[in-house]
Amino acid sequence: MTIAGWAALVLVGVFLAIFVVLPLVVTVAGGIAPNFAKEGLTARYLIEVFLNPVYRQGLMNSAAIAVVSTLLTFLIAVPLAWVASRYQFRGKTVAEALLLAPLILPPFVGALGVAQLFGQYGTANALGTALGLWARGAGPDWLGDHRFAAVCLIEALHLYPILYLNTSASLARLDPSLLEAAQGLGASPWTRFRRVVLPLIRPGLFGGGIVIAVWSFTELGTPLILGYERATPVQIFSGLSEIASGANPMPYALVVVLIAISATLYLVASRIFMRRHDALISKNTGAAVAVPLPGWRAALPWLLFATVIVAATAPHLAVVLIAVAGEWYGTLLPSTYTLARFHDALAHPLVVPGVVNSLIYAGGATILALALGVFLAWMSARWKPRGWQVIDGLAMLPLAIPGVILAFGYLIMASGIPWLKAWLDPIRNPTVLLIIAYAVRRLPQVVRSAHAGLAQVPVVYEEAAASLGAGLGVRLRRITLPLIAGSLIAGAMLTFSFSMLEVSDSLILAQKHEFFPVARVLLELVTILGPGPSIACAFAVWAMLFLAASLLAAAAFLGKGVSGVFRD
Amino acid sequence: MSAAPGAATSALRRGALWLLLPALLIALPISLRAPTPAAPAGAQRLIILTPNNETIRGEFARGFAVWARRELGREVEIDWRTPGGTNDIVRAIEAQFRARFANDHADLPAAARAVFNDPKAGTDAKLDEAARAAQLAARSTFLASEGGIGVDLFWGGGEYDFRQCANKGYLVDAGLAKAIPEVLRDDIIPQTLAGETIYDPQGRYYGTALSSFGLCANPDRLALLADPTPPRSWEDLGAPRFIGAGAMADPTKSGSVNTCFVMMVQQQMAKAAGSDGLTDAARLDAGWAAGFTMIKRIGANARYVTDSASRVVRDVGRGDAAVGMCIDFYGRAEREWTHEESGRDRLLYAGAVGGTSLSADPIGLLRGAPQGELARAFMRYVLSAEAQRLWLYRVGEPGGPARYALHRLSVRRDLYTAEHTAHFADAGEDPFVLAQGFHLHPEWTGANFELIRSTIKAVVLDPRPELVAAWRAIVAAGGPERCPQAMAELEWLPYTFREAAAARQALTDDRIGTLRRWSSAAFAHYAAAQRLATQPSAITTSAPVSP
Repeated sequence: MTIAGWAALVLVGVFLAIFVVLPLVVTVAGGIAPNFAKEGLTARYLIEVFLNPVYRQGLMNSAAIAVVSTLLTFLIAVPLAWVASRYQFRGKTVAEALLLAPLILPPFVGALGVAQLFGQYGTANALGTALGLWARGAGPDWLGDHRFAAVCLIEALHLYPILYLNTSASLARLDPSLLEAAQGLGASPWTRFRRVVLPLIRPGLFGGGIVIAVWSFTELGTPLILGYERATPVQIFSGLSEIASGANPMPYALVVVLIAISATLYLVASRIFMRRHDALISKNTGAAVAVPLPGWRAALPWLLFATVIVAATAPHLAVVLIAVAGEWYGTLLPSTYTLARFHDALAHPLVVPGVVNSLIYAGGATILALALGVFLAWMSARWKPRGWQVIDGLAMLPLAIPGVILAFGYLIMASGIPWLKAWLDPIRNPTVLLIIAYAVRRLPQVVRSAHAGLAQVPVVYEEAAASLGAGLGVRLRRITLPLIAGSLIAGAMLTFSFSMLEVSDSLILAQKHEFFPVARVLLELVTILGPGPSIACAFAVWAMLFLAASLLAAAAFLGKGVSGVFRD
Repeated sequence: MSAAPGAATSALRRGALWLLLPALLIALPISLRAPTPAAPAGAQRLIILTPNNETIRGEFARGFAVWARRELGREVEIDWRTPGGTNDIVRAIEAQFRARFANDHADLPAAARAVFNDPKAGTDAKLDEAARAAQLAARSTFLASEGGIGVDLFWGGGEYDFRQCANKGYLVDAGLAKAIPEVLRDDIIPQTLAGETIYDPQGRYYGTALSSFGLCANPDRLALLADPTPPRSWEDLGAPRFIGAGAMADPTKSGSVNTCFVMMVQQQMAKAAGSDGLTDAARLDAGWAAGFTMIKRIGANARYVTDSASRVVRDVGRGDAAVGMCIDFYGRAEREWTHEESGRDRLLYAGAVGGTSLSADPIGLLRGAPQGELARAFMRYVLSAEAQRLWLYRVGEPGGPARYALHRLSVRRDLYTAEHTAHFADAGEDPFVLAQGFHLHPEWTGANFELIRSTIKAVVLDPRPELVAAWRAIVAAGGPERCPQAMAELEWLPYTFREAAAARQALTDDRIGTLRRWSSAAFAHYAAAQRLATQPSAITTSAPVSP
């Protein structure tokens, strides 16, 4: 391999060591330092995790959440992606764009929307009252009595776009002649799907599925808000925010266990799903893959799409209505309306700088994550130098580290380690640190997207180019990148959207008002006593529109429909 | 992949058109934005770490600018740092001092450096003499140093958090006892109130406002119950009628919430001791147990336990919870807001009868403050009558807040006079009168502050799903009176009041193992309670059924 390749590998390795390993080490080391001074290195806190029934059940519940949420996302995303790739129908572009709505739901307000829909005096219960099922206010406590189901469903409805994007990109690379051959040999549609399509799109399914599985395993926000207390991420957060005169090493021990389990999950899953990835797929020519569905038959895919879209965008709609509601309590829809909250929100002095800051941070993070992700994916799919698994594992690690741990690690190292402080001090200016933090957080997704792309593109094209004398740079620019552009754009869109709304890093690293990003501004608005939640919803409505418009503009620049952009 | 040049141009043109949309959207807030006055040239900058919300920050920044111009003859500007809630701030302070000290004193041995902030450094008898001496050296080096974290003040949060920071050495004496003796005296700002510290005798922090916990309730949810009376005391929150409908504050996340639970235990102990004033051990044991039974019932009724102060009032105001425990000013602000929204109070707020605990929200000077002098001036300002009126007055009153009422209680006794109360946003609230309603016995709970919190964690919070299941079974079987055996299991505690010292020692020796043993035992007892409540043979039919 070229010297440039090795030099890049060393650089990326150093970057990952500083921005993934070091923050983890400084946080965990800081957490156990007082105990370490007394007891030295000990495994007793790790053992305690398995001795204590509360922690043991927490791990089992989190694992159950991960399994159920991941299965649900598969049930939602794979059929939709399959239908979208197979059929052409009226309004398909709109349907596909709406499907990505969960990507633009800002933090904090989503919970307000869900509470408004399923609260005691919320829309669902008001509907029941209107239908004579129960008296006003006496309906079921949907969120309080079905916590596990609510956590899994909300996570699945939030995360399915990741799998949908990955699966769609994989399906787009499917060679239609293989399906035709199977059909010619008499395979039924189900057999074709099971025996031909599924094995071939396995890299995409794995790339999306593993991200969702680990994400839902370590996700804090949903179980925390719904009061599902016995789940490991909630226990970690709870332990960290516990006031105690002495140090409490348990949250750090839980972090270590969480990471170990996530890593094992990743390794086992990649062994199982990625055994054969010498792809038999050629790049499809794009000719007449989608079968047009005229007339009433266009309603069939719409039925499928609409069900998911309605469920996924219900919180958005509730947020919009809260923003314009005067009073909304015990009625199906608000009983009075006002635009005053929009004025309160948009005239707030933090809003404009917040949006500009987030654009800079998220834009920078997208570029950085893309550059790192392409290199890492190429390393693990093509180059495979000695020990590549270590670097690949490091790049996946951020998925398993709770956001608050990583963010605190950055704060400690960037304000405590002199040579890092010199150019990263978040108090002076957190821009560079936030760009890095956001990029690191989204790196696993980009790597898996790009890897899925590479795993499906036959290496013979690159070999042919090489035999004709094309250097690495030319091959990358002219052959490889264009072929996996869909996967890259999917990764970039996810990175940009999630970074625009990122919570943990934003809350902890952006301390001065002039550097507040969108999530931090939303929190400021939510905490205004009284009308705060409505003001936050008003800003969230604006933020959703803005994010949607930005993604539409990006799609238009690339000359595609919104979700067509990842399906080159 | 390779699109024709014409198509590429049209895509670009279409893209440019689409760009108009986000551009228009961003123009909207820019056009609505009120011009913010820039800080005057040459203004001195004060850096304050705070969990206080934007409303409070805005009012005090405006007030301080006016005050400093008049009293100090200079322009000032406040640089607020808000890295999250109180816990996040304390963690950030801790992490930054740790990093700074490690960096400044790399020559010290690492094991000694690690305990630079430990008030007990050098006292561990298990260590050898040299190790103890090294720890003491590190500790005294820190206490003598001016190595700061580039921040002047820490303002807002609970007294507990400030005491911890002060004991660790992060806060230093601001010397206000000498600077403003006319304010820090019993008839203006007392050093303690109802047993609670208002300001540190060593001058490391000073209470700037008072807050208490009270009861909030949703009148519509109450109206659906057989007994619609609002809860008046903490005991009421544990009544079977509120099953699955309560909102409980988390004592492991906040010192002032824990103070409130300590108060509940105090209240039950005082009740058990009886009016004859006898405080024999058996009565105190019974009072201690009754206090925890009450807390267990509150925990068992709760829909969730939260450390978010704003969530409880929001959920109760919206009817998702029927009753809850909340910080006074959150309750008052939400009541005002629901009234404004719907023309009636959708949230009722009241202090708890016979059990109101007051606690101070302090301000403290950080070690190595870059602008120490200005920081002290800000502390003087915050304690002045001029600033304290901002907490109490209605919006727009002369001397009151400009944008929103803050609904908080002042620490200054001299502001609760007729001359001022006429301007109050919430009439009739005098914490100094409230404080007289309760006689605190520090000898019962003073040393047990941590123990009470740890016990709540082990027997209420950690086994909560099991506790809830047992309590639901008991209520379904007709209530506590009908299930004496099941209740005995539910009321189980790992130790009695008489054994509190031993329990404290067990926590000191092995906190994690002790907590695990307690919560594992609680699991077993609650499972037994649930079983007994569903066994007809264990249910008495003569006792009355609970409402």
